[in-house]
Order: sequence, then C-alpha cells, then structure tokens
Amino acid sequence: MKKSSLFLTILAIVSAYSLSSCSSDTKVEEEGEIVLKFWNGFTGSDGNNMHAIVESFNKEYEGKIKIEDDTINWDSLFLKLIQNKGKERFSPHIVAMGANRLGSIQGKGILKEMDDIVSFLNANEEDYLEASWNAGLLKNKRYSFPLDMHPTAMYYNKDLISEAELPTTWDEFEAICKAKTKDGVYGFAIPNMYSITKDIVYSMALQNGSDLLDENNKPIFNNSSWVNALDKLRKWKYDDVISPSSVGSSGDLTLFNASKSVFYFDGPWTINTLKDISPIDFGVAPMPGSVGENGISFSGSHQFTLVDCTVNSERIKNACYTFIDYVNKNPLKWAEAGQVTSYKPVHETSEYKTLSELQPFTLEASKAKIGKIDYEYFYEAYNYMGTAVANCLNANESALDSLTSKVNLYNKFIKEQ
Amino acid sequence: MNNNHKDYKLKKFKRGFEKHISPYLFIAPYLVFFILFSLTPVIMSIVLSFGSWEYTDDFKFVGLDNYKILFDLSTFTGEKFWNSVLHTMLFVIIQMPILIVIPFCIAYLLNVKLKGFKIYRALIYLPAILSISTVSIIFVVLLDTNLGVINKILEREIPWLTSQPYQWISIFLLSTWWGIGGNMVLFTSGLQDIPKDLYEAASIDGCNGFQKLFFITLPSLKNTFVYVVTMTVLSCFNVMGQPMMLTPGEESTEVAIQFIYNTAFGSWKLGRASAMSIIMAVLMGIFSLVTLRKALKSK
Amino acid sequence: MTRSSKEVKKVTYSTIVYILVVICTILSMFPTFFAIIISIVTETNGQTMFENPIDFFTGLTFSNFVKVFNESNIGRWILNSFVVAISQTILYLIIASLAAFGFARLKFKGRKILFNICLLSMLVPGIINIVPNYIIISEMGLYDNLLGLILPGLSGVSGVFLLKQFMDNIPKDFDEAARVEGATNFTIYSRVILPMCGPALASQAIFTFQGAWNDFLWPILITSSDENRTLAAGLYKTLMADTQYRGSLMAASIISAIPIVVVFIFGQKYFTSGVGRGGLKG
Repeated sequence: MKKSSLFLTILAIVSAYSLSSCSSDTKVEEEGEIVLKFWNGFTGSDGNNMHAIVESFNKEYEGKIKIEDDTINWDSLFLKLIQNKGKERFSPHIVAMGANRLGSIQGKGILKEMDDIVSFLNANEEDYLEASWNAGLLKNKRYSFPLDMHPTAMYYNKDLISEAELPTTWDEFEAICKAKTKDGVYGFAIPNMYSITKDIVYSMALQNGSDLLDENNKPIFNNSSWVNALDKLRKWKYDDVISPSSVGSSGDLTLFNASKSVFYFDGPWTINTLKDISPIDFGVAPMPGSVGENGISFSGSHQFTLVDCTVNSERIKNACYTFIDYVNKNPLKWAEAGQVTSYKPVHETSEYKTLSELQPFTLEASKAKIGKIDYEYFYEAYNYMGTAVANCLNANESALDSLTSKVNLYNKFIKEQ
Repeated sequence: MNNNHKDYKLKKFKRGFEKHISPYLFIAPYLVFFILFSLTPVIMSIVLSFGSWEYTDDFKFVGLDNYKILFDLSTFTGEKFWNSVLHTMLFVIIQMPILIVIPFCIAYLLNVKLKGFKIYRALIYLPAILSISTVSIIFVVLLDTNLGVINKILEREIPWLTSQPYQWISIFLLSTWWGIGGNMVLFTSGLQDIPKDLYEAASIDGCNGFQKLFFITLPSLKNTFVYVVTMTVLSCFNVMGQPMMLTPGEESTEVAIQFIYNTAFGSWKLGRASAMSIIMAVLMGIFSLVTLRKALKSK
Repeated sequence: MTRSSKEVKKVTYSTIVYILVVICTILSMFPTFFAIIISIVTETNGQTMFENPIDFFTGLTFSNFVKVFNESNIGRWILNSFVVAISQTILYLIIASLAAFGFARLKFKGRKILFNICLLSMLVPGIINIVPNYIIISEMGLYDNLLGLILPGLSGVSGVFLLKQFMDNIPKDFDEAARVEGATNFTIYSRVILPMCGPALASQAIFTFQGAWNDFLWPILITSSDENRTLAAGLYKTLMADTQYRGSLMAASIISAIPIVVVFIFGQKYFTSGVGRGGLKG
C-alpha cells in the first residue's frame, strides 16, 4: 500500500503546484485596477525596450491599469490566438502584430473593431505616417492602430565608402558596387535565403509601378516589373559578381561586420544589433529610389489590435486605448529600439533626432507602402514571392521562371482554400 | 464453527480476487493513460481526417474530401504532401544504414575494451542525450557559411545550410552525430552478451578476426539487429526536427512529418493534417512489416 | 605463428583500434566543444577570433550566460522543467512497473492481445497524437497547466516493454516461493520482483527524465502563460530570435543541457550499459 499512497501524494503535490500556477483570471471588477494582457512577438532586443515602456506605463497608472506583457515567437503567438479564439481566460487583450498578418487574423474573427479609438484619442490622421494609418482599415472598419513602420534601408561601411559617394538610384548603386568590388571586398553580399532581400525586390517592383497583387487580389509578382527587379539582383550576384555566390543565412551581416562588403540592407532593428556586436564604423542611408519626389519603397508596420473575446466592456476597451496612446506619445524607448514610430510629431523632437541612424528610415517611412494587407492571403502571397526570390538568387535560376512557378503555386494554394 | 466458515469464505474470496481481479488492477493505471492518450487520439485522428476543422469554426464532415485532395497530385496539398513523403523516404534510405553500420563498428571497436574505453564510450554517447533544439542550434552556428567553424577549418565557403546538396548533407551529418550514441549502446549490450567461449573455441580452430566476425558475432546479434533496425526505421520516419531547425522554410528538405506539423500549426488545417498522418501511419506500418519480415528471414 | 609475432599482431591491432576510437571520440566531442568555446567569448570577439586567435583570450567572458539568465522567469522555467520531469518519471515508473508485472507474471484473459495492442502503438507516428491530445487536455481543463505536460507522457509503452522483458528473465521460482508463504500478487510485486528490477528501473527513469526534459514541441503547444513554461519552451524564443547573437545562443543551449548532462554523469552506467533494452535476449 506504500506505493499507491506515494502515487497519490505525488499527484496531490503536483496538482497543487499546477493549480497554483494557473494564470490569474482577468475578470475585472467594476472598481479597482484593470489588468490587461499584452502579447507581442518582439523576441529580439527590441522586446526589452517595449517591456521598459510597459513598466513605465504601469508606474504612471499604478492602481488604475496594469499591463502584463508577454513576448512569444510570432508563429506561436498567432497559433495561440487562433487556438484560444473565444476563450477569455487564455486570450490577451492587446496584441502588437505586423500589418501583413492583419488580413488573415481579422479573417478568423479574432479582432475587435476599434472605430472609436480615433475620437477617444483625439488622433489626427496627419500626425501619423500615412501607410500605417490606413493599415488598420479593413473592409471599411478599423481593426488596428499604428505603432511603427520599419522600412529597409542601406547600411554602409564608413571605412569603405564616403558619404559623398552614396548612391541614390539603383544605377548609381550598381556602378559604385562594381567599382568597390575588389581585393576580397564585395559591393553588396546578397543572401541566399534571408528575408530582407524580398523586401528589396518588392521595393524595386513598387518603384517600377507594380505591386504584389492587383486590384482583384490576383498575384502579379511575375510581371515585367518584378522580373526586371529580381533579375537585376541575380545579375549583380552571378554576372557582375558584386556579391559572393555563397552567402549563408545572416551571412550578409557577417560579411558586413568583417568589412568584406560595403553595403548591407536591413530594417531599423539591426541598428542596435550592430552597435552591440559589430566591430566596424557603420552609417545608414535611405534605400536607392525610396526618397525624393517619386520615392517609394516597401515597409512593414507594427499595429496594435484588440482581441474580441477579452475586450468586452467599455471600461476595458478604454484602458486598452489609454495604453496604446501612451506608447505612441512616449515612444522614445521604442525609437531607441530601432523603430520608426508612426506618430510623426516625435520625429521633430531633439531626442529623436539624436538617433542619427534612424533618420534615413524615417525619411523612407513617409513615402513607403505596406501592400494590400487587407487581403486575407496577403501574407502567403508575400512569402511565396520571397521563396521565388530565394530560389532565384540561390541557384541562379531565371527570374521569370522562379516568380512564375511561385505565382502558379500560390494560385493552386488559393484554389484549395 | 461459524468463525471457520467465515475464514474459509474470506480465503476463497481472497484467492478469487487474487486470481481474477488483481491482474486487471495492475494493468489498469497504465491502461487508463494508454487509452486516453494513445488509443483515443488515433481514433480521433481518423474522425478528424474525414472532416475539416481550423480551430476557430466548428468541425464539419467532408467525407473523403481530404483524401481526394491528398491523392490528387495536381492539387497544392497533394503535390506538397507526396513530395514531403519522398523526402522522408530519402532520409530513411540514406540515414538508416548509416545509423546501423557506424554504431555497430564503434561498438565493435569499443568491445576490445582497452584502457579508458569506458570514458570514450560515454563521450561518444553524450550527444544523444541532448535535445533536438540544442543540437540543431549548435550545428546552425557551426555550419554557418561565413563564420562557421567547419568552413574556417576547410577554408572554403560551403553553403551548408542554404544550397543543395549541402543542405541534405548537413541534415545527415547532424542526424548521424546525434543518433550514433543510441544504437551504439544497444550493440554494445548485445556484444557483451556473446559468451567468450565461442570466440575461444574459434581461436583454437584457427579462425582469424574476420571469420570470427562473420560466423560468430553477427549471427549472435541477430535479435539485436532486428530490434535496432525496427526502432531506427520508425524513428527515421518520424524525422522532423532536423530539417525544421537547420533549413527552415526550405522546400527541398521538407519532410512528411514536418509538412503535417506545418499544416496543423501553421496553416491551421487540422482535418487535412489528420488525413496525412493517417496515411503516414499506414505507410510506416507497411514499411516496418516489410523490413521486419526481411530482417527475420535473412541472416 | 610464433608467440612474439602473435603478440606483435595483437599490439598492432590494439593500437589501430585505439586510434580509431580516439578519432571517433574527438569527432563526437567536436561540436559540443566548439559550442562551449563560442559561448564563453564576447559577440564581437567571437566573430574575429578565427582570423585572430588572440581575440579568443581577450574576449573570454560569462556575459552571454548572464544575458540568458536575465531572461524573464528563467528560474521558474527551470523549476517547472524539474517538476514535470521528476513527476513524470516517478509516476511512470510506478504505473509501468505495475503493468509490466501484470503482463509478465500474471495470467488473465486477453493478456497477450492487450499487450500486443499496446506494442502496436509504437508503429504510430507521434504526430497523430499531438492534436487530439491537445483537444483532450483542453477539455480536461488542463491547458496551460503543468499536469497537462505530465500526464500524456504516461501513456508510452516502451517502459512497460522494457520492464516486462526484464521481469521475464527473473526466474519464476522466486514467485513460487513467495506464494507458498501466502503472499498476494501485490506483495510479490513490491517485495520480490520490484527490488530486483533496480537496473531496469534506473534505466527507464533516465529515459523518461531525458524525454520530459528535452521535449519542447508539446510544452509550446500546451502552455500559454509565462509561468507555466518549461525551460525548453521558454528558451525556444531565445533560440529562434536572433542568430546573430551566437554567444547567447550557445549559452542558452548549454544552460538547457546542463541538468541532463549532470544526470548523465552520475547515472552514466545506466545510459551506456544498454541494460534491459528489450528484444535483446532470446
């Protein structure tokens, strides 16, 4: 009988431990502190900055509103949102997500409408970056409020190129890369697989007047604008050889840090990574073609969303809005994390201007586009385009073939939905 | 006299209990968990495979639709699924012999039992206790094209994780390094069970090393080989972690279980994922039975 | 063949074997060795140390480990992992040994069929169980609960199989002797057979602990709040975050591996003896 009582004791202890570790119910009383769960996927060092913002909010609103934030990988985050749809206990109140996922998450009916946030915050459209403001408008209703935009800019090695030589068009870029490629140093290491390259191609296609999907949401990323853009990169890599033919994942950053390449393209979050780990003296300039009169480029954007099943009272909703407003009005920490805040007035402050590396990104963001994110399958189309880019650049495939094969695959995929 | 009668009845009850009821009590706790978490899921998967469910809406029956799509190679899922099955088969066919021959050789060498071999055995076994995420991360860093140790030593810039055929080679390298320990230990145990007199008798008869290997060692290990082969085949079919973590997003290394996992947790299509796992179970069953038959027949 | 040439042959053979074994060991240790090297250098020096080996020595630091430990809640994650792994091990040893005894020693109707059905579950790919178990655990109200992590692992048949094999090799005379003295089945189980199963129990304990400690897919699926994550699930986001921070990546993997390596060092002989791993005898 000793064994079974041991069994039961263990079961009891473990149960007690587990039950005690249950996440606290977010049932909100009519009075008292409102506790809000805030999920995001900022797993890099920018997550620490967002956490700092949350902490300072909690301090200021002590006793009134408390934010419990949690950072999970994006994929796990969306899976949990989906799995726990309608389950108040396991769903958060506020989620910060990339705009490119808005379409699919909203399509699943998880998000709450936030039409009244504009009036609640007295927010002016002109105070926010245009593309990010409009991102939240899906099917004529507002489902998200902007946090930031993160375009792709051109990092450069100050020892290998002077500011005067910086290119502003892709032709100038090609010329300077060809000139600078010698003695083991390359102009621009084009990665085989990393995702930023697809943002460059997307930007070039936008500059050529096209987009990922047409007005009917049909994929057109194998038309001449796109082929032209992708083939340019392929040519640079394999014909002009301004890039090594083997660049591993993150290899472009590695080579850049080793002073083996002049240029490196990435989003603003890498500013801090480079400051952390890079031995070189680097600068940032806007991507060619992205600023100026007809400047345009592709950018991502983070947006705040509310979850329908948890934000079920006016009081909770207003508390959420208060937090969103706070982050937008106190965004310096977020800017320091390397993000261009959507709220424009901040860009004029002196503290923001001291973040010199962020300025080119800010310039780009005012002209950038985020794509047809209201379409439920935008994210998939974007990824298929990325795979086509990777295949072409990895194996020197024809740009037209790579893109067309992925357009076809995407169409097959859509047929099955 | 009443007491004796009561005693007798009690004893009879106890004996009956011991004989007829107690056995079931022993296996009951395990069976509860088995039925709940091993058996029921299989049935649920079969039911799910005839329906469509994406977490957020309700489950609805679609009959054979999932299977129709899967067996139609012109559809998106059909084509991708069978491609992934091919990739799994590639892995099984190449990795399995590696994971049988190399561990056996190492176990055989270690069986010579020279000084310090106990420690070497432990060190060779060590990678096997690490988790898949740990070993994958180590290899991702080691095999980095530009900063990885391997490329620094070889002084080349081999795109281990970004181009074929290196991606497959990386997967095999990782699986080999990680998997050797487990089978090596099984062979060691088997080798140690072979009575020494057999070898001595053979020496007296004038047999050399090779003859001993082929006529004594291998036949004595027949059961071990059958067990190791079966277990290795099953685990190779279940491969998912290595391609997922070494070459995420790469189509040409996507294996079956990985595709099923991505369908269930990335595309959120549970009905279709269940149908695919049922098909995999059938395939694995057939393959295992065939391999088992062959292994039992030969040698 | 003269005695001395025989000895020369033996020595040559031994030397070759020794060299081969050392090579295998070095190859085996190679990746882990470099993982450690990379984890104890600063990020910047970690990139330059291959061209410039001095940088390794100037860059020695524990900062990568400190960085990982400053991760929110890592102490709680470690505790959770221990609770889950140890509970699952103890519970499984109990129920598996009970079942193994039943199958090995007791006669009852359906014994063979039931056992074979349990064995057949080995043929089923693991992925089949994941979603249904998720549904079952959620329905039981154990989503985001450590019990949800512990219980499904108790359904595995390998321990029952291993222990049954081991018990089959224990002569039945012991049982008979005890029965003559009027022992019940449970007494035979607890006082006769189980004590003899030491090596098999130790081996199975290690396998169960290792499986529970290393599992990350299931914990990621079934936990929601930060407090309930196991170490593997919690560090998963670190591992997937930024592959540029190689030092922290290696430090994170080393940290998550330490407990199981410690278990290995102490329980080494149970890992490597392969004792009782079924199907080997007869």
